Amino acid sequence: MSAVWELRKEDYTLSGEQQELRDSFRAFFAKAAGAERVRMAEPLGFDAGLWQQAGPQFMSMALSEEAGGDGAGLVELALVVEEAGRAAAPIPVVEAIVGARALERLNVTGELLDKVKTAETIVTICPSTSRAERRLVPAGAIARAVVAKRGDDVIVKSGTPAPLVPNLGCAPLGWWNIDGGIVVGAAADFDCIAADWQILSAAALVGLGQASVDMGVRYAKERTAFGTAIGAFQAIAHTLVDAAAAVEGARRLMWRAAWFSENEPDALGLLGIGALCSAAHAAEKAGALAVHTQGGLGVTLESDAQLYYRRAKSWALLAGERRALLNDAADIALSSMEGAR
Amino acid sequence: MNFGVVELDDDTKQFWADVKDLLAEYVTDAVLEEERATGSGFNEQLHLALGKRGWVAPSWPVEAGGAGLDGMRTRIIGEEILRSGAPYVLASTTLLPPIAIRMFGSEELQNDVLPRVADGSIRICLGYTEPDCGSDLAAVRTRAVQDGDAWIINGQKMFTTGAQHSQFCFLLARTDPAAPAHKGLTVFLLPLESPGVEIRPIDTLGGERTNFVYLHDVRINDRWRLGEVNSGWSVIAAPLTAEHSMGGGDSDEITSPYLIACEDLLQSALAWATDTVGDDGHPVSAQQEVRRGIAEIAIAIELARSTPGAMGRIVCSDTLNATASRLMDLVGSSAQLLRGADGAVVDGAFEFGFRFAPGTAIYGGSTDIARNMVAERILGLPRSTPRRST
Repeated sequence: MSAVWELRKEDYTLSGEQQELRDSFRAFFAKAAGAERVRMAEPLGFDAGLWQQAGPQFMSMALSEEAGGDGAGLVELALVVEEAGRAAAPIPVVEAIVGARALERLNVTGELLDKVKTAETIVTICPSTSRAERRLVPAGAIARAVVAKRGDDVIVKSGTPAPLVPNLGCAPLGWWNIDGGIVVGAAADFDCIAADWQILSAAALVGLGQASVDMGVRYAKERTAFGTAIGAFQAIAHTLVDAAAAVEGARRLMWRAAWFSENEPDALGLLGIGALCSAAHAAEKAGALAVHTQGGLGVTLESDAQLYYRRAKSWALLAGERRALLNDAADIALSSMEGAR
Repeated sequence: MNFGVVELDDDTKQFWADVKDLLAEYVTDAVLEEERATGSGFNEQLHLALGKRGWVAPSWPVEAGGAGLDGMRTRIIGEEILRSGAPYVLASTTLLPPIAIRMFGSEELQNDVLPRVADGSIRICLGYTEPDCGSDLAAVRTRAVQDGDAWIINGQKMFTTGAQHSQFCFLLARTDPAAPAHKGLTVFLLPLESPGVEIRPIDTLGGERTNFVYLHDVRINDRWRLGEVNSGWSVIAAPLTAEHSMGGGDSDEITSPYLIACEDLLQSALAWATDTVGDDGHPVSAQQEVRRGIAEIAIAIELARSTPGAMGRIVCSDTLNATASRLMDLVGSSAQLLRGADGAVVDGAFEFGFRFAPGTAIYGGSTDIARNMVAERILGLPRSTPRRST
């Protein structure tokens, strides 16, 4: 017999405003970004012009009204980040949003926050909580400050962007020494930052995965073999269905995580980690399938599918060390057991 | 978007308590033990007790024998029944034919049958599958031939789960062998007490009892026909659609039964991990491999819970199959011991889960058919080939 005397709503519908927000960002990226622009931004993975155009709006959404922004919720941020992911946009939306929110949470004000507000300066975070001083930092090759957990503290370290470290996803990665800096909080303060990071990384990966599914489906409808569109073969169709289901499930799990993080953070449980791991898996599966569905074309550099395939793995690795994430998820699952006893 | 706790008024809380009380009274250890032994998927005392309160068809209007309950209370009943482990399979499939009876049955037939479905005294099993056709229902061969105001029916149905506890079979039969496959079918509500009906058991891997129903010159009156002659394909459409959504994870009303099976297995694994001491003197829940397995399964369950519709039906079943297998590997050799055996782990939960899982990819329409539906209706891919033209 169920011990639970609680029912929750299961309402995944977007409000009209949320749909408009999503649609407007989708339209913006469709017009302003595109695969050519993604290619041109490689290998650094940063399109300064695009950031000038889009950055201020992302930063305004990231910051609260008190901080001069318009204080979008995490659900709304997830919706727009998904659109950036769908376009594989070469701008550090997750890093900059989570960095800006971290600064505000930690009451870091002054010149740094002012420059973040206008998107003139990018502040990123270091998701790795490793004890090592030298850490690989997402957007570390373009950011001028990093928020990181170091031992019992959370610090902000400013500096010049690190040299680009060439990588699989053409992400603007750089090595930073997480030494010095200013202590701005205690280790526990990093939990909310990590949750933001996991959920918005999941959103970006969901967008990436959806674009890959769409690419695979489009090709399967157009390409003919043995006298029929290849999408009529179940060997092709069913794998696309599984990828589409993985992306759709990950999207809704990510929405649920965003909603809980925003509204009932104490009940988030393993939803944030779950969303990230699920989105990472879905994006990789869909990316690999987009490549495979296109056959020989898929493995050429001409194909857009490879852009998404590479980023799916790269972004997932940047989003978190799988071993650490699963270790945390195990703690959460096992603690529910202790609670029941 | 909203996942908040539903505020329940005192009335609803009392209602919930009543549901729990009723189930506690009828779903006893003895009933659960009997279900494990027979797998019959039905308990008449429980069913009649539910029917007495209008809870067999809780959302039907009171005039129709239901309880006229809103979605919330209907969901409470559904969740509690599922989580109680009550033998329930027939009680859920018996509500599918009434969808068609209401659309296609004569007023007389509706008045005769539906109130008795609602009060629990009548159960209806599904007569779709035959030895030579399952997913491809348009291929049914059971033959119905008109004879004056009656029909003579010959053939055999299988996987007619719950037939041994049913009064009627919702029967799909061929009435025009010359017509194209989909256009020569008719649906009947076949009284199972008719002479010439023979029900024989089929036992399944998951321990469920299902049936063959053999039909030898069974004669039934034309009043039991549903819809026009040779229009059977449209008669089964609505109940089939409702059935296909039964394994999904996002139903507003109740959690997918396959998801609940996953949750039960995870709970068993958590109990095992915290209660079992490893060679190092610590609970095995401290071991890396165990922790990783538990974490991945807990995440997979949350993913399945969030996956909607036909996709959810696929993912819930796939997740159950993967979970059952993975947990046995995690637990080790003793995971295969049967309930009651010396050294059985958590009452043989894993051994049972592994046997139960494969059927969930078949029941209520196979996952392959679900994939075809998603491919065509959601992704917009062309119809799979080869396919019989309609």
